[in-house]
Amino acid sequence: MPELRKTVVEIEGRLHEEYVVVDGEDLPAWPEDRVLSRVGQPLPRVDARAKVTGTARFTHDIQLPGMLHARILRSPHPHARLRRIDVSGALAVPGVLAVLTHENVPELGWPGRPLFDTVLRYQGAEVAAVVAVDEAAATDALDKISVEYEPLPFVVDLEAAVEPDAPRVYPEGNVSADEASVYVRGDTDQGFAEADVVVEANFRTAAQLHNCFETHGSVCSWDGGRLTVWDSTQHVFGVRKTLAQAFGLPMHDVRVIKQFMGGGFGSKGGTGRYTVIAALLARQTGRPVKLLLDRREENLATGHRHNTLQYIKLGARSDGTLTAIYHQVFAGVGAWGWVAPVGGPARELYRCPNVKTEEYAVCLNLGPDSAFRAPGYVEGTVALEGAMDDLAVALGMDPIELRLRNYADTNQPRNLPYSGKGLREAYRIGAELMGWHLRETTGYLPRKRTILATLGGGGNHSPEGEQPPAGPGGVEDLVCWPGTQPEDLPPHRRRGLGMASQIWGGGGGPPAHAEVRVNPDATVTVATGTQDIGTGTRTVLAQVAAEELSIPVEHVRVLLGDTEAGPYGPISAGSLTVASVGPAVRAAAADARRQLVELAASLLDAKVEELILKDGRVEVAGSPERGIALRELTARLGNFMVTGHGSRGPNPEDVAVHTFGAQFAEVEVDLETGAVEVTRIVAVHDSGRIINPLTTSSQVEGGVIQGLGFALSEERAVDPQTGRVLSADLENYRIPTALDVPIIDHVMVPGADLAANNLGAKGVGEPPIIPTAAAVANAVYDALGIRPTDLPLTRPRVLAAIKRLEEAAQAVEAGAESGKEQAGEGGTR
Amino acid sequence: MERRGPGPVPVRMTVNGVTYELTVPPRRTLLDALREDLGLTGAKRVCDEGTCGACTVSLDGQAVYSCLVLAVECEGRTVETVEGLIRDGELHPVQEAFIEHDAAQCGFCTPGQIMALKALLDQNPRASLEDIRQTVAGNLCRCGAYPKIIAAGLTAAGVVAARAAAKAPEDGGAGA
Amino acid sequence: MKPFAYTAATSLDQAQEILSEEWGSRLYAGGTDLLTLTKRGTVSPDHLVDIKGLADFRYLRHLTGGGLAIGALTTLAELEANRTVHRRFPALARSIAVTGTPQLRNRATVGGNLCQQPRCWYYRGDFPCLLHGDEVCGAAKGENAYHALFGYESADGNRCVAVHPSDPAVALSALEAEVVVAVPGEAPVNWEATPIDDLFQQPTKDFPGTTILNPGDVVVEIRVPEQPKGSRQVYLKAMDRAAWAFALVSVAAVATLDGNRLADLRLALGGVAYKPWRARHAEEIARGHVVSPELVDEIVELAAEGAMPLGANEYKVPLLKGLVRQALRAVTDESRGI
Repeated sequence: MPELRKTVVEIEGRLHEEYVVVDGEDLPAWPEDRVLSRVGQPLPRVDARAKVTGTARFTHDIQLPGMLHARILRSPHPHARLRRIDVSGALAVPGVLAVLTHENVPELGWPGRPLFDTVLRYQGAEVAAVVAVDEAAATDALDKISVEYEPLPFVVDLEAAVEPDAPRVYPEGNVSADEASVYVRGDTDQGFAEADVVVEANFRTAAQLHNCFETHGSVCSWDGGRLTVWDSTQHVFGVRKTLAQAFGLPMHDVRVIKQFMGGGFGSKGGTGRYTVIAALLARQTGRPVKLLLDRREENLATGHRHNTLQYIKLGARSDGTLTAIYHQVFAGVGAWGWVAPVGGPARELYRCPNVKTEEYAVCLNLGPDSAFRAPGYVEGTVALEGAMDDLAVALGMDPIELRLRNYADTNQPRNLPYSGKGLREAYRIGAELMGWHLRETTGYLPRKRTILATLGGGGNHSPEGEQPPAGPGGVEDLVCWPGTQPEDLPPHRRRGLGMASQIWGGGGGPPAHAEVRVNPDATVTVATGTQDIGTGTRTVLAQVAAEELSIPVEHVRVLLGDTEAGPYGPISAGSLTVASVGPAVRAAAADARRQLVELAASLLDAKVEELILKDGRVEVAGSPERGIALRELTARLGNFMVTGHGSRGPNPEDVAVHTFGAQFAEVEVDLETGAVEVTRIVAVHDSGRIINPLTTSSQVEGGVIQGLGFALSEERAVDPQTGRVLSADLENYRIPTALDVPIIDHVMVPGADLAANNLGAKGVGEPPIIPTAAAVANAVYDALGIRPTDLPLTRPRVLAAIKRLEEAAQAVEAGAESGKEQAGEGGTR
Repeated sequence: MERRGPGPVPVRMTVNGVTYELTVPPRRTLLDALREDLGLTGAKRVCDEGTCGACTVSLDGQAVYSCLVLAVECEGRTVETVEGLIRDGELHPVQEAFIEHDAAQCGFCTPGQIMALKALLDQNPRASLEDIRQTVAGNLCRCGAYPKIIAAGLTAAGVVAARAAAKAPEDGGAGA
Repeated sequence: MKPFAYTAATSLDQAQEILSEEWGSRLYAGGTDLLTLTKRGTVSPDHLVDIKGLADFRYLRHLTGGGLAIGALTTLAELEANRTVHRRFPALARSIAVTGTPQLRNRATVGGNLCQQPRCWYYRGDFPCLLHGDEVCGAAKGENAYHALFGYESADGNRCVAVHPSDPAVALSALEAEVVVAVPGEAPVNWEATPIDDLFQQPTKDFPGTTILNPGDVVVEIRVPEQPKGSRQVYLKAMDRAAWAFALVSVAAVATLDGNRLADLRLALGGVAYKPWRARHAEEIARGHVVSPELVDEIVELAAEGAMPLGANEYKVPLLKGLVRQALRAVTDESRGI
């Protein structure tokens, strides 16, 4: 019986308490020692063949009879008022059927901002849309639309936008202190007063563009009053809901389909404005309409990981015990958007009684931001784990020792113990694999205890009207002697080791529902409204159903990515799919299994309690001769399909469910050219029970590689004079190539999280990207002796750091010569 | 040859063993002709300017970015796309290896990756790890499946080399 | 792309006739540059004249006296696969191997590679650019991390500060190669060979090309002279990522050692000017001197002599010095490598 339950749901690092429908009693998790034969196997993907043969149909590949093509005209200006628009030229282009603008766009129940606004707040804002018989005609017609813009003052630089006299994206200002996300635990003033050592630092991270290979896009088709949409989305049910609302349709008249998707990484969670535009044009023309964004539009208008400006300050006793953490974040959210939980790691990762985090959204005349794989935590971990290494240097402690000293056994914001936390084990395994002990024996660390010099850094950053952060007025870089370097390195290269920790949710939660249908030939169809966004969902769900029903995985087919395929499935985001939908599938399979056993009981003239379902047979336990093959059983039922229903149970109330991990990086820095070469990454993560080690390893490698891009090369560049994006393409926005990938060793901490859900499994999509950049930056710190504070670590930044290092060394040398203070045991090489 | 276009002109080319006569304007790229005119949607349009590799096909045996080839240039030429690799239901060793190693995450760059590696192995049945790495470097993957793509390339190279050795017993004695 | 006509030229004469007489016609070969420009609308040709099929210009021939003549329509992949290139011109071989990707090298011709337009993101986007006919160079005061250190005279916005993107051009410059240009109406015997450095010119508002070529002029051959016996060559390229990027800075070095003495040194720098930038002063100072740490320091400093950073590209100065130092190490001390 469905029942309404209140539960804590966590999405992309933020917690919400919600009522959800739960169907029936949940099953206990498979115990730790249960031997599972399908779950835990490194099976190739069930849809791999479609992908390698080119038959996997992505939204881009949908072609319908009579289909038209639409393109969007977008603002070339970062901020402008639309004065006048004339579309007659476009309508005269052969093959053009219609043009939509703010003047003729129909009224909609669309909850978003106007589809075509007259104040355009970023380059890429929608101005008009053209529909034509083919893409070339639609594109040609865009050039024939004549628009008069009144350019307005703009701001595209995060640091400039927080200034009181900056041009305003909205009249009320760019930074709203009222809407800041502020968290306080204990008393940080007191905490810093109790500290023996205080470190502070400013960090900057760049806007990261998703660059999903399949650009955002939709194909919309009306059949009478019914709307069918093929959409490149992470949430078919979410899109259905919004479209039904926008067009005033009953929900059963909207169908959203997404069978394959060429990457989303968080940017495809909502309903696209392009989708609504395509549906409007399809309704208007009475023909199916395909609207795909091109690469430039993708990079201007579909979201990004916000850039950040962060100030962090840590206080600790001389034994390393943290007494206070203060973390202040300014995030460039674009024309509108949200601040991701950048302060999350500071709030949760370490045991600390006094914590304050402040997260401010700063509006800019750039495209709105969106979630990007572990939004906020990637950026926040760079700052927290960087500052922890500063603290380790200041205390003369090993970075891992310092982290263990402040190990948190409870979720402090919620005051709940963790359901499972394998971080200590991740440190141990990772340190061993990386050879962390070499860091001491080669003398890296002891030598670093000698602080060579302090260099003045930038001032603190605080919003208008805010008190400046506690502590000294400026942040200073600590410049230290790098230790003895390995003998195999040429003198112009420096090697360094660094590490960083990861915390994230990934426990999922309700609502998520599934159906398991057993066909007359005993093959099984799993139907659920989730989607496989390239993570392997089809495969792991097939494994879960096969495990519960004790049948081969090949006998299971998973229907998903279609609002008419099965019951509700949640958004594929927040690393929640396996931990949300997986348990629902298991529950549905268990329901089907129960029914099969009941049917067999009457055929075998046995009691239900005596029967077991095993390896494709139902039989009396201990008397295998009294049994029936599953296939024989289902064949007896005529064309009846046994259908099991299941849902994700509520989250546990007495524990907090999280994923943890640690990554270690080894880098080599070329002092002559500023090249940072990451030579090895060791990634150790705890995500509970692993359903499929093969697809899990793909997720880990993929996360690390995207993290390396964030650390080393990915950066949106904006022209300060025109406010336009210079790197809205794959030439100037540099994602890693195959040759940029180091050796990646990865291990999943063994063990299931039995309190988490009936699988004992947690998500693994986002955790691996979280600590990579921080670990790399810490390794560069180790190699150079100077903390990199701005990411990505491109040549200009690294060469500037090397220059400061040389200047500091010269200053010390000069000081030593004049008989002043001796800077430790170092000395120039 | 005469001046052709700018309106649609006939072009005859062989794609996956079938000869087609298309009518396309000179500005139509091979990629768009394959996808839109022939319905062969395996090759993908990601950047449309030769900066990603997802549209890689084989043109007269060489891997090319089909977004940087005009369809009109392909008069009398032979094109192979990912759809053409399957023979009597049997996959090419590169395809088999991609499945085995989980070398496709979202799968969008996959056809291009496969065509690039297939062209390498056609030209060099004894491709080394470095050859494979250099080849994969011409095809971006946003999911970061690179380690597995390279592993799949190595596995496929092993299969192709073994088959080449079996076909040419005279140099079989030299070992693989 | 705007609509355009297409002609597969059957002879060079035919192509040159169209190109010199028809406004809006463009020479088309590998297409790896022209099509990207056309797709972005940076250029809008009305007519592409495809010379790829002219097999007469696709060859590698040994010159009497030991050099190599390369037909301009030879693809980079064909050059890359050539043993002579590898053995005798390793700097050229390396510069090709780090150009683009296998797919691009399968299409790109060596002639087209030399004649390609700048990769400047102002030029290739919707930004102020002298080459678009705007009054000012957007990069001079904008995001110019990828722009020139040398040769642009003034950063007042009236001069293009883009750099030439070719890697092979840098190696060919250090190898003192020449290019043969076919001029419309001239018989092949009158085609002249020009030192490669002289092929390039700084693009201007009125002449937005990177070369001295007039419409209808076609680079038909590249001649690489035999290098001195015992000379050592290297090509080093610094990029933002490990592959598939244009050079931030690159260095081609050709050194001839007589024992411990540098009999001859040629240093060409890429990514720093509108053409391969020869560090002539450094070359002169080096000539005839015994290799020593002091000499290396001096060469390194002189290589950067006259550099005029624009703002965001200041890092290119230490980078170029570092690369020159590594190149010198590679060509003067075989045992140490780079």
